[in-house]
Amino acid sequence: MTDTKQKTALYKRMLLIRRFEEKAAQMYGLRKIGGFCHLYIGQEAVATGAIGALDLKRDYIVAAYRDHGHALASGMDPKAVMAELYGKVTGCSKGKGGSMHMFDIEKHMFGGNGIVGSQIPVATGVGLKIRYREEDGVVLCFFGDGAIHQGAFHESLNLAKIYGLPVVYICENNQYGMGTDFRRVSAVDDFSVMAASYGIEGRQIDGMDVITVHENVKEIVEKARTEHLPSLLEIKTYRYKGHSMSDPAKYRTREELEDYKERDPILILKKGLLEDGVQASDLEAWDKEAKKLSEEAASFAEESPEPEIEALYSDILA
Amino acid sequence: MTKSQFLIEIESLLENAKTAILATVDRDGSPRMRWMTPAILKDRAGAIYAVTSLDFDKRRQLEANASVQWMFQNKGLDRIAYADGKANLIENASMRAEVLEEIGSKLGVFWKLNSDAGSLVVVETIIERGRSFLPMTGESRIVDFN
Ligand SMILES: Cc1ncc(C[n+]2csc(CCOP(=O)(O)OP(=O)(O)O)c2C)c(N)n1
Repeated sequence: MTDTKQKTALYKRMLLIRRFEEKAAQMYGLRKIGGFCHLYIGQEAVATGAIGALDLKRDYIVAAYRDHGHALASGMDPKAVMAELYGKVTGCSKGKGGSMHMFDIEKHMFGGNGIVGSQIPVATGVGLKIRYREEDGVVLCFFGDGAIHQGAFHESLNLAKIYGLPVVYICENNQYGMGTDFRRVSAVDDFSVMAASYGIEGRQIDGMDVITVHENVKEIVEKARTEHLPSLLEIKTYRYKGHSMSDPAKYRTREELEDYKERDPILILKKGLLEDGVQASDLEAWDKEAKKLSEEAASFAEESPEPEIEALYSDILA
Repeated sequence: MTKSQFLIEIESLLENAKTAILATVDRDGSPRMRWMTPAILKDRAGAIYAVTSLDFDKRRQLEANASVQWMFQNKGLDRIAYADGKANLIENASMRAEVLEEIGSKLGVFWKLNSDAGSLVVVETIIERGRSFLPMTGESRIVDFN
C-alpha cells in the first residue's frame, strides 16, 4: 500500500514536471529554446509512478525522446535540464543534446534517445551488463506506441527472456504517434498480449493513476530483481479523443468539457490527497514551490554561458 | 471544394501568414476580433486549434456565445478563407501539450501578454462551413462541414 507520505512525494514530483513543462513551453514560444521541445504534460503519472519504484543506486532508466519527465522523476536537477533545453554549457549534456538527450550518469538516467525505438536494445544491453556483472539492478525502458512494432523491440524481448535480463519494458501508450491513431497501425489494441509471444509477463495499466502505476511497477521490479524476469507493461495515458475524417468533429457538451478537465493525473491524485485529509493550503504551497523551482531553472538557464566554439570538437568519438 | 481541400487551403495560408483573425460575439452582441496563431492538427480533421488564457476576455465571450468566424489570408492578400463554426474551450492537460507542440514555437506575442504558463486553455473550433475566396477574380467556393 502507498501511504500518504509516499503519495505526497509522488504528487510533488508530478507537480514539478507539470510546472517545469509549462515553463519550457513558454520559453520555447519566446524562442529561448531552439530545436525540438517535446512536452510530457498529461503523462506525468507514468514516469513519476514508475521511477518512484526504483532504487537509483542500483537501477537504471532508459527513455525515449519525450524525456523531460523521466529526467526530473529520476531526481535530475531542473536547472541542468532547463539549461540543456536552452543549449547552455551548464546543461546535463553540456548543451549539445537538447530536449531529446537528457542524461545523468550519477542518477542512472541513460537518456533520452531521438531515434524512435533505439533505446530498446540499449536498455536490453544494460540488462545484460547487470547479469554479466552479477549485480542486482533493474532497468526500466520507456518507449511510445510508435516504437512497439519495430523489429528491435521484438528481438529485445526475445533476448531478455533467453538471457533472463531484469528489464521492464514500458510502452507509454498515449494513443498517438505523430498524429497517427495507434489503432490504425497496430494489429492488436492491447499491447500487453505481445508479452505472451516471448513467455514473459504482460500487464495493461491505467497511466492516469500514479498510485496504480507505482504499485504495479514496484511489484514487477521486485520480480525482475529477484527472479531475473523481464516483463512488458502497457501504460495507457489519455489523450482527448481525436476524430478522423469518417468521424466528424462535433461541438462538445458542457459535461464532456467538464469530463476532459478531470482527466488529469495531477487532479486525480489531488482528490485522493484531500480525501486522505491533506490540507488544501499544503497543496497550494507545494504548487508554489514547483513554480518557483521552474522559474529558478529558467533563470539559471538564461544566465548560463553558451558553450565555447571549441566545444564543437570535444566529446566526439568517431 | 471538398472538406480536405478546404483544410489543406487553411494549412497553406497559415504556413504563409502564421496568424489569422478570430471573430467572436460579445455578451451585448457586439463583434470582437483579434489576431491569433491557430493550427490544424493531424488526424483531428474538421477543427481549428489555438490557445488562450483563462484570464482573457475571449473565454467569457465564448462561454456566452460559442459562434465564431476565422479569417485566414496570405501575405500577398490574394487568397482568403473563412471558417464559420462553434468553439469549445478545452481544459485538458494532454490536449494542451498536443496543441502547444504544434504551435508552441510561434507563440511569442501570446507569452508576452500572458506570463502565467499554467493558465492556458485550448480553443477548438468545430468548422460548420468553409469559404475560400480569391478577391482578384471574385471566385468563391463553399464547403459544408455538417
Ligand atoms: C526511427 C525513426 N523513425 C521516425 C522518426 C520520426 N518520429 C519522431 S517522433 C515519432 C512518433 C513517435 O510516436 P510514439 O513513439 O508513440 O511517441 P509519442 O510522441 O506518442 O510520445 C516519429 C515517427 C524517428 N525519430 N525515428
